[in-house]
Amino acid sequence: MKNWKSMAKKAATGFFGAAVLTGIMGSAAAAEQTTIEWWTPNWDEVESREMAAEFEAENPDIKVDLVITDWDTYKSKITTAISAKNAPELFTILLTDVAPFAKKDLLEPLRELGSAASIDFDDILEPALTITSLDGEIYGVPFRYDGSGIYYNVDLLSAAGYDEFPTDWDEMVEMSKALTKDGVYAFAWPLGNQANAATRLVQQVYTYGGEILNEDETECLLNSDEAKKALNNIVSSIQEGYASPSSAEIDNTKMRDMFGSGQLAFNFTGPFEVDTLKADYPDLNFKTAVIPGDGGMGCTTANGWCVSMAKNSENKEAAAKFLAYITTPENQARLTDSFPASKTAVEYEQFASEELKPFTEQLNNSKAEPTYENWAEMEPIIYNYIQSAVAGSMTVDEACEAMAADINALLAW
Amino acid sequence: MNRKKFYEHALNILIYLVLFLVLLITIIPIGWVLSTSIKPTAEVFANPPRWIPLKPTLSNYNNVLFESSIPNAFKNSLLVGAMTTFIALLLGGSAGYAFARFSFRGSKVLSLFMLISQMLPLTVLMIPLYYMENEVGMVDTKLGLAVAHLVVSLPLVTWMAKGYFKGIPKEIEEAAIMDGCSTMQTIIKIVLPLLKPALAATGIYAFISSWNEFALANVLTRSPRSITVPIALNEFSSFFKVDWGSTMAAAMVITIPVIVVFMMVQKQFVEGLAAGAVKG
Repeated sequence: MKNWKSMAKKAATGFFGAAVLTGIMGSAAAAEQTTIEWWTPNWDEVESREMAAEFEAENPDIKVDLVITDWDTYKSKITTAISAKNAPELFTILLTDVAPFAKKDLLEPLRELGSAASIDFDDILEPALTITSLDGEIYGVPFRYDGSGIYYNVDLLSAAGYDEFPTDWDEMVEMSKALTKDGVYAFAWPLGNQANAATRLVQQVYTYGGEILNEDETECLLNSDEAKKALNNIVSSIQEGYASPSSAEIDNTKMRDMFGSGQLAFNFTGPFEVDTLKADYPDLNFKTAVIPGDGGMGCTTANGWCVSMAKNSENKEAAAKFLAYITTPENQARLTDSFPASKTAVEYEQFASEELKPFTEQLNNSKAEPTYENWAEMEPIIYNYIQSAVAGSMTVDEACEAMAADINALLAW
Repeated sequence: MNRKKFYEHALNILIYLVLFLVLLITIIPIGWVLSTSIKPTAEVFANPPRWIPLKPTLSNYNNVLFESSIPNAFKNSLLVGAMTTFIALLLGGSAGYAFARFSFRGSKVLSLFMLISQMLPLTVLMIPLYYMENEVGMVDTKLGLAVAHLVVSLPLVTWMAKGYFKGIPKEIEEAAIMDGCSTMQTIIKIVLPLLKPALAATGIYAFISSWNEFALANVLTRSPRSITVPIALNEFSSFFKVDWGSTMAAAMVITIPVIVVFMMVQKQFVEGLAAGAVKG
């Protein structure tokens, strides 16, 4: 009996000791593990989770927590968190979001930190890297870079007698008039959304060789002849009836669905639609083309996505290591349905399909979307005057003069 | 007499016509939501629009109920709404009683001051609230969101409660005290039972304002442990496209329980609002 008691006592002591030891070892292991957080958008969720799991398996000392953001709210969430110095280590943002944050000193410079973690900045496309750089320093690692092109409905164009998409704007207008019938419109403008609408005007302005501001960003040039031609293209297409009258209320995603369901003969959008259109509208017979312009290919604005690091991050080295992993050429290719920002990855076979070729060609005539310091305040001004001109309450000349005057007042503030 | 009856009938017909019109205006969007929720993607923007889809599908509901975060967000919304309602009734009810029954220096200024917060746009309150909650570690928690929602509902709940308490004759309470009740017993045994419909109306107001709130939830929640349904609805909208079928299915899934509960308690809600309207 005594032996039993003694054995039980020993067992209990042993068990207790083992438990304490396991607890100590466990807490020591937990203490050694660094946790980093990455805010990634919902359209990259599957690949992001795979990459985080792979990285954790290779680096057991680092744990990656994901927070899934979405298109409508990612910016407000990140702006609030970063302003309150509570931002995650890493977050995915538009290339053009980087400069406003960097100017407020809210982002971590990545040239040295990233290079130390083996990020190959020489492999990143120069135009993309330029957008995420400020005063020679890099504040975001681009992994996707693309611009708009044209998707056209082959059946509707054939019925109107067109085998190919024109490369000149005037020819496109002629074709648009022929395409508009029986409730089908040639195309639409996304004027129901401020950012979408401003981008379309900017693309048109760039096509005619115009600019939004002068070089030192002290004067607005939207009252130039180029800008007036650009706005006139938008206004006349709607007022003459070949662009959808719904243009004033819709955005890019609605235009995509209208094109998919055969209500629009062609649509201006990015290369990322190729696969989703095929999946959602299997009966749609479409091809792609470059954007028509003034006597030749038009200009597109280009933008993309990158991963930035918050300045107040606690675990910068671990975050840089993970950042290097998710932006390798292979992983850039996994994270994009359009074009990666890596020179190596862009040569991969998956980006050489017939549908994507015009988008590659279009990038030869592309400019970065505006990253002016006051762009967030300029956008609503531009948007309001586009709407006024389309509604007919102002002429194109009046609208352009008024938007330039308002923006000049803003710049002088 | 006959002419009088004729006019009465005509007036009734007119009233019913107007009511029918209002009903149509209310029902048509809900009907369209239901119709879209059972359409495959290719039919959502079909031209001309169709009320009844050619190929009806339940795949949107399958997506919402089994492959999205909506069920979890629904649970979070219920908990946040319940916490907001409970705290708003407890604090707002007590404050309302104090404003209605006790005269103290600054009472009028204080009760007016409470309404000032209602006049501020939420976007102005967002950053200070985020800072405060961040300091105490309440960002991305259900309790943190419930506390933030109190900023919206508490002032109005207090005002509504003040009106209801004023509507009860003071003599009833005095009689209870004469019969030996303490102040607390008077409130619990006499005043609160009389105010059941009013409290239901106030509680429903607090719950619905929390249930629908988007702006604060957008910045104060980020993970599945705290996101509420208005935020989770964005899950179906990406940079490239909006999954309208699933968005509409989710809208049906989160709206129907609220409508059912509202129908069950609408009698109390209307009575409560009327009670508050008589004496303010």
